[in-house]
Amino acid sequence: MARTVVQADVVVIGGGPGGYTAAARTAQGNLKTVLVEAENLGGMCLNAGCIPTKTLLHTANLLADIHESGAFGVHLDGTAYVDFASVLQRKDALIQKLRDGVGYQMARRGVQVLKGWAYWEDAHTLLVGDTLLQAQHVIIATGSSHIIPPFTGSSHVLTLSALLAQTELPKRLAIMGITPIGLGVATIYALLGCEVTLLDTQPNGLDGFDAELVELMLQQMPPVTIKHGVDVRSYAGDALTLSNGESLTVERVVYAGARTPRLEGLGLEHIGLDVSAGKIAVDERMRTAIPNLYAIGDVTALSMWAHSAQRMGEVVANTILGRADRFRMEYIPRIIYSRPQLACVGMTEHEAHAQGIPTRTAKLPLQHNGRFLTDYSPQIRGLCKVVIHANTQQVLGVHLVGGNASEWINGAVAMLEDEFRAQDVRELVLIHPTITEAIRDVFFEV
Amino acid sequence: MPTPIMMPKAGNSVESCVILKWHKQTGDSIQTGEVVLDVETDKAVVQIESPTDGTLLSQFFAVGQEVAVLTCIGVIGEMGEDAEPFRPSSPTAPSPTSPTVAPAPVIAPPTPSMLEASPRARSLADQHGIPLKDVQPTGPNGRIIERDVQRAIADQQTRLTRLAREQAQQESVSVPAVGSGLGGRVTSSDLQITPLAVPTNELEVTNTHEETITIPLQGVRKMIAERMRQSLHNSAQLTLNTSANATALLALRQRFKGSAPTLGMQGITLNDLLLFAVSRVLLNYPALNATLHDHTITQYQRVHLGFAVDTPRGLLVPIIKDAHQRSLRQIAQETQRLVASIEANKITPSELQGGTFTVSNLGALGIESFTPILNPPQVAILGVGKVDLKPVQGDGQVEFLPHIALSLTVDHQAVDGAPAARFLQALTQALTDVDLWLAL
Repeated sequence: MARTVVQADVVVIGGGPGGYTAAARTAQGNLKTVLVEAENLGGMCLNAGCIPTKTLLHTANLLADIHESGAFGVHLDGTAYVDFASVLQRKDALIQKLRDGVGYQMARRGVQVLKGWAYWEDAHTLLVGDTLLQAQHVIIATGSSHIIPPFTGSSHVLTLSALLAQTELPKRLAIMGITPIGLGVATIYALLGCEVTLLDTQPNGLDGFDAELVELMLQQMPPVTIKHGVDVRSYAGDALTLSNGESLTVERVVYAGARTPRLEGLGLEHIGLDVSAGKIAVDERMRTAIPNLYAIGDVTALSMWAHSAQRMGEVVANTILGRADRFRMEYIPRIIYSRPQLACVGMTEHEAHAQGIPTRTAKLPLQHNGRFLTDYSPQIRGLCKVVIHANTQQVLGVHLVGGNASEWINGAVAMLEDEFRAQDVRELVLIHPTITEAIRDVFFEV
Repeated sequence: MPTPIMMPKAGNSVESCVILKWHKQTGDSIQTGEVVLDVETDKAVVQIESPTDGTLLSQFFAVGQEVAVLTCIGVIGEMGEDAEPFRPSSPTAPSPTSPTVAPAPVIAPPTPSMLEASPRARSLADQHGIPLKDVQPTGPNGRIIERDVQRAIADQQTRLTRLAREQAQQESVSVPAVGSGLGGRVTSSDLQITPLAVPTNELEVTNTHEETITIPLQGVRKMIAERMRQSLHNSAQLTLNTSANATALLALRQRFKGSAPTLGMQGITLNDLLLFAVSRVLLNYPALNATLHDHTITQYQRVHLGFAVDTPRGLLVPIIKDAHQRSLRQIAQETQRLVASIEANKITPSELQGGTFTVSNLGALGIESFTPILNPPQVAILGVGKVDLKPVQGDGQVEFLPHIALSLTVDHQAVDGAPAARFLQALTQALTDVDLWLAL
């Protein structure tokens, strides 16, 4: 069979946030770069994760704002309702626009995008369909997927992508997994009027989040039923039977548990890469055990966030381009997109104590912040909590619950990366009135 | 019309030249082409010729001074013409032969004047985005020259986080050139993994948790650490040792002890007598009653005498203000008041600041001699040891007389050995004759 041969300096397998970032950067470094994508550019994040859920969340928040608008003196003469079809239309249009954007960015940088599945026939033969890829460096950025644990009827459980593809808004939804994704989905569908049950099927689903702030978030999020310490035994018709014998009547069940690195179908067994741990092990420069083979993003299971994957994409490009860089894991911000949002960076008190680090903490309710009061209803609460090294005063963690915390936390990332001490934060001049002032003001409570 | 003589740019790499010799003195008449002065670059001697006929109206720099290129160094014109408009604008550093004596203690450092920088320094700083205000000038008249900017660039390449910088200053760790933080910043964890650090596993095995005490360097301890390191880092310390006949001191001390309580002299200690003698002798040695700060020596006509006090919080040095004007009894009272204040934790920062000289007495602990570390920006500190019997050749026989050990550390940048020795000699004499000095 005649094979087309494509030669490149760099081949990137997977066009998600990690893959397209790596491809853009290596191409910018004047390396001939090929990006292989089997489905759509943008990966899970753009097509079935971050972007579509945020599109729905915005609509849901808008509806909730309208319901709460009376507190701000705005009254509507009529009933606010959601036209789900047009919501989906907006979501799909937006996804297409952003996909096109990634495609345009690849073209502009001179990245050749190759559609198909990459497969190693042997250690020297990387195929995409009939095309043989010959490259100096190969980056695996295949991401992760939700693999639903088997139980009777588990094949009827939806993945997040499948749920987002539903054209009808379900009336009763069960979500498996109290995780950032599970809570995000629960928030959207509950706000849109769906009866949501959250099942705590995923152990340690909220690791890395401060328990006190999680509690405050759960107290305020739209009403959902939470079932702790249960698992799913079977799912048949509209009956979901739990491990405690309880039966729930549901319309849809969605899985929001742990994500699994995507390793299958690549022929990794043919190149001698050990993936027995269920992930591709890499060093801090994203190098695997095989020379010139790299892995980034969810497939490494290092840090399953789109922003981490993008950073790993930059690090791997720098590694290939011979520039010193490393993927630092200490200060990756984490987020739960509920209403209110919970965002944090650095250590929780609990994590610091587990490591034997002496700490001090300070808390400031956001109700003490003028701008928070102007923008939110009086019954809404928020909290900023910081963890500080008791001896060096180094800021170890910043935790926020309230409103748009995802937007507010980013400044704190710079503080932690540059090892700010409490006294350094106190010196910052921040715009008044803003809610982010709380991140400085809380340090006067230490 | 006056014509300026400019320091020539003798080569691309030349930033400044040293004045070697003025062939013409102010008032001498000069022909065009005649050699006015010799200057020396780092490589060669260059003769500067007069660009015009006339009289040398002014020499702005003395022999030995380093002057940046393209600076006006002198003026030629007709007698009676004013050369002053050509004088370089930045203040001239005091020449080493004419120290200025400040009329009163000035603690505040001189504020840097307008930023003067050579064109090469300016352009290099521009290229690397180095703000000139962050560059420490070493050129003449406080001018920033190219090598100052080069040093600033080198410093900038090793960028430390604030925390890492603080820790690097406190502890003896080596700082790697490139760290693991943002953009290669050196973080606190990079400092811990340097080869100087003790292998932690080994430590854990040999020292269980109960066998070690970890004390964070903070508060007074941190301040002492910073000041002592800074002192040794920034000065050239020289210590002179001697001893003084303490017969009169001890006799006086005995008399005070046995004096009537109403006189209020029973509490006068040997240390008070020492402080008294130092406060008086220093008046004759202003070079030792001085500070060195920002390339400027400031001598004081008043004696604000610090004395080292060992406290549970660490070493503190309270100041006896205007010690030279206080009687012995007043010095003793002030010493007691300050010590009580420290013990009650009521000492104020102003009572710990502004000293012009320090005395540190370890005699009570049986120390024979030690090297006191300067209390910057002061240029001298007297260490006092214990009283010991010392053989002295008397009339035909050797006598054993009590002597008190004295160790004087000076900053050789500001004070030479001989003047320091002369002060010590005078102090020794004053202590020997302390009863006479009390009458002054």
